Amino acid sequence: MRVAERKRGQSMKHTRREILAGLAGLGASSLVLPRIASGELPSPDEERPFGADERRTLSAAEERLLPGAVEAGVPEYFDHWLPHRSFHLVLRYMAHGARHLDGAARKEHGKPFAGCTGAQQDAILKAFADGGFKAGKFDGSVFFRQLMELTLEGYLSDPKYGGNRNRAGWRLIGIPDGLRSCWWNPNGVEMVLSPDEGFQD
Amino acid sequence: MNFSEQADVVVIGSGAGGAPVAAVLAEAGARVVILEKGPYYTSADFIHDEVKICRRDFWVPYLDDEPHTIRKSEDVPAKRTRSGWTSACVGGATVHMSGFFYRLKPSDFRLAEMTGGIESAQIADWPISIETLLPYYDMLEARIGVSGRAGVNPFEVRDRPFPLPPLRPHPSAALFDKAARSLGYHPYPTPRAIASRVFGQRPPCNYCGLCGDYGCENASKSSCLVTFIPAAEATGRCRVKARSMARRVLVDDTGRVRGVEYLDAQGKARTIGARVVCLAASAIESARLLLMSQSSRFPHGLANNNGLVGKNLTFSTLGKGTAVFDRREIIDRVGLRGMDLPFFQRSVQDDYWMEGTGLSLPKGGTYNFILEHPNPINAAVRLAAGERWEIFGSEFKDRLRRHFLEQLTVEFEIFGESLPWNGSYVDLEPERKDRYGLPVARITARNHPAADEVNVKMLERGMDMLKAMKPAAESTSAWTWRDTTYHLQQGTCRFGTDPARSVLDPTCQAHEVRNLYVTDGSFMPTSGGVPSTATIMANSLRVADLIRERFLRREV
Repeated sequence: MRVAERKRGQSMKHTRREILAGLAGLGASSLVLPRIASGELPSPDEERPFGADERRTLSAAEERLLPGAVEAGVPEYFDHWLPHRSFHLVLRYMAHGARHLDGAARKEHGKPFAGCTGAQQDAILKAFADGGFKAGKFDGSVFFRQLMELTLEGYLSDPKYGGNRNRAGWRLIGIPDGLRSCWWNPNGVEMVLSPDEGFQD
Repeated sequence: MNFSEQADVVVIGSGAGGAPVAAVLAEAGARVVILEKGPYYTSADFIHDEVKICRRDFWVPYLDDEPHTIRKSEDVPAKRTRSGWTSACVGGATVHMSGFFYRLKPSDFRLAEMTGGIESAQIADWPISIETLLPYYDMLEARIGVSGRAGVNPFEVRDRPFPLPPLRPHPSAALFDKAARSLGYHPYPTPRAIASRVFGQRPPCNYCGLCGDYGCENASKSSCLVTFIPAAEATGRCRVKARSMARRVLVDDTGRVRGVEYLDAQGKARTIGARVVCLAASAIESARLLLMSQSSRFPHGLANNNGLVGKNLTFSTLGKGTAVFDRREIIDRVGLRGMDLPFFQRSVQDDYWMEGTGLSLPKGGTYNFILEHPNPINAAVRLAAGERWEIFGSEFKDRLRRHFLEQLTVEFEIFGESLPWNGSYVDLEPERKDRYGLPVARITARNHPAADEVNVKMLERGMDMLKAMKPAAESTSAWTWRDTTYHLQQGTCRFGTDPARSVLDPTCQAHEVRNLYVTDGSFMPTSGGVPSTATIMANSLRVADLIRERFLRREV
C-alpha cells in the first residue's frame, strides 16, 4: 500500500475533484443525485430513451469498474433507481454517457463497448476517468465518477433494491448482515465487552 | 384581522431553536402551535438503509421542489443546490445530528474586543456574557441527557458534572491520548447529546454508531423529537402541525406581530393568530421568511428596515483531516477487545485561542476526533475519490476489501469561526420560485481569508496529532481538504443592543417588531469555536424564560 502524503497544493486540487464528485456533508453521506450542468445533457434531437443497448453498455462498464457487479445485481439496481422520479436527470445522463462509451468503442475498435475485450474496455474507461474524453460539454471524467458511485451503491446497498445480491457486497467487506443495529457482533463471536464492563474513561 | 385559528404562541420550526421554546411555554400554560414544514417521523421510520436515509434526500427537500441557490461571489451566477438546509422534519436537524455537544467559551462572546477587529470582517461582540448562558447549558444537559466527563478538559467552562457518564471510546483512543499529550495537547472525552445510561424512559445507547445522518430508533440520541416535542405535547397545550409551511409573518399597523400565514398539509392557505411568534426555521430559512414578509411598513422585509436581515451569514465547520491505520497493528498495541466499538470520542480545545502563531485571526476552535462513519457506500466512494478515481477493477475491489477488513480510519473535523463579512449573506432569488410559489433563498458565501488561514494551520496541527500515533509508515496514507459545510448556520438576524447594527435585541426579540422572536442560529453575531446546536438550544431555553416572564407581567 503506498504512502500518499498530500501537500497542501495537492489537497486543494483534491478538494475540487471531491466537490465535483458530489461529496458533501459531515462525512456520512455523499449525494449521488448529480451536479450535472444542463450543458452536459444530450440535446433533444440526440436524446433517446434508456434502452437495451444502453443497459448492455453500462452493465459491461459496471463489471469492469467492479468485477462481480453483474452477478451481484448492479444492473438490476440501476433498473430500480434510474426510472425514479428524482432521477430523471441521472437517467438521461447515464444514457448519454453509455452512448459516448459506445461511440468511443466503435471509433477505436469498430464494435460497441460491450463487444470489446476487457483490456479494450479498461482503456476506454481510463481515458474517460482521466479527463481525456470530452464531447461538447460532456466530460467523461464526471460521467465516470457518477457511474462508479452508482455502481458502488448497487453493490453495497440493501438487497431490496435489486443489487448486493446474496449480500455479496456486504460479505466482501465483512458485514454480512449489513449495518448493525447494536454493538454486539451478530455472528455471536464475543468481540466486545458490554459497553460498561471494566470501563472508566 | 380575522384568523381561522388562534394561539398564544406560534413557533415556526421544530428543531433546536423552536422545540425548547414550545415546551417551556406550553409547560407554563400557554397555548402553543408549532408549524413544521417537514413530516413527523417516528422510530419506525428510522431504518438503517444507507441509500434511502443518506443518499436520497430523506432529510432535505427534493431539489426540483425546493432548491436553494448558491454562489461564491456576486460575479458568478447562483446555481441550484441542496446545500444550506438543516433538516425538514419534526425535531429538525437534531434528529440526524451526531450529537457533539460543546459549550461556548468567554472568548466567543468578545471576539471584536479581543481581536480589535479583523479587516473587512463584520465582527460584533455578543450583548450577553457567558455567565448569562451557563445556567441554561446546565439546564439543557440535565433536561435532555448529555454525557461526558467534567474536569478533564482544562479549557471547558462548567462547574458541575455531566448528568451522564461519557460514551465508551474505541481502544485506539488510548493511543491518541498518549500521542496528543506528547505534543502538549489535552485530549478529553467528547460530550455527546446521547444517553449513555437509562435516562428517563429512554434506553441507553446501543453503540450502533449511526448517529450521524440517521434517526435514532432507540431514542438514545437526545434529539428534540424525543425530548422537547413529547414534553410539549404532554402538556395538552401544544399542537405540532407537520407538513405546514409558513410563508408569511403578519404584523399590524403598529409593528406588532399578529400571526402567521401558512400552507397546510393539503396545500391550503390558512392563517393562525398569535400573541407571540417565534421564528426558528434555521438561519437561512428564517431570514428568507422575514425577507418574504414584506408590507408597507416593512418594504424590505419584516424587521429589516436597517437592511441587516440575511447579512453576516456564518457557518461552524472548517476542514477535515484523515489518517488510515493498519488494524492488526492497532490490535497488537491495544488488544482485540472493543475493536468494533464505533466511537472515538476525543476532542481537543488547546487551540481555541491561538496567540503567537502569526495568524491574522488568532482564534481557532475545536478538534473533534472521530472514526470514519460506518456507511459502506460512503466509505467506498471516498476511497475511490481518495485515489482520485484512478483505480478501478480488481485492484479497486481488493482495495475496498482491505479498507474495511484491515484498516482503521481516524478523522478529525474542525469547528471554528468562519467570520461574518459582506462576502456571505442570504437574500431572495429574483426569479426562481419553489413548489409553494415562494422565492427561494440565494446563498452567497465563502470563508473570510483569515478563517481559511486558521483552517490551514489547524489542519496541520490536527494531522500532527494523528501522525504522533505512529502508525506503521507503509500502511498509512493521509490527506486533508478544506471544506465548508452549510448545515451549521448562524448570523442572519444578529442580536445586539444597537437597533442600527442588529436585527434582534439581547432577548432575541426583533427591535422593530414587537413580540416577534428569532431563536435559531440567526441570533449569533459570530459562530464561535464549537458547533452551534447546544448553544441554540440553551439560548432558546433562556428566551423562553424571558417570554414566559413577559406573559406573567401581561406585557404580551
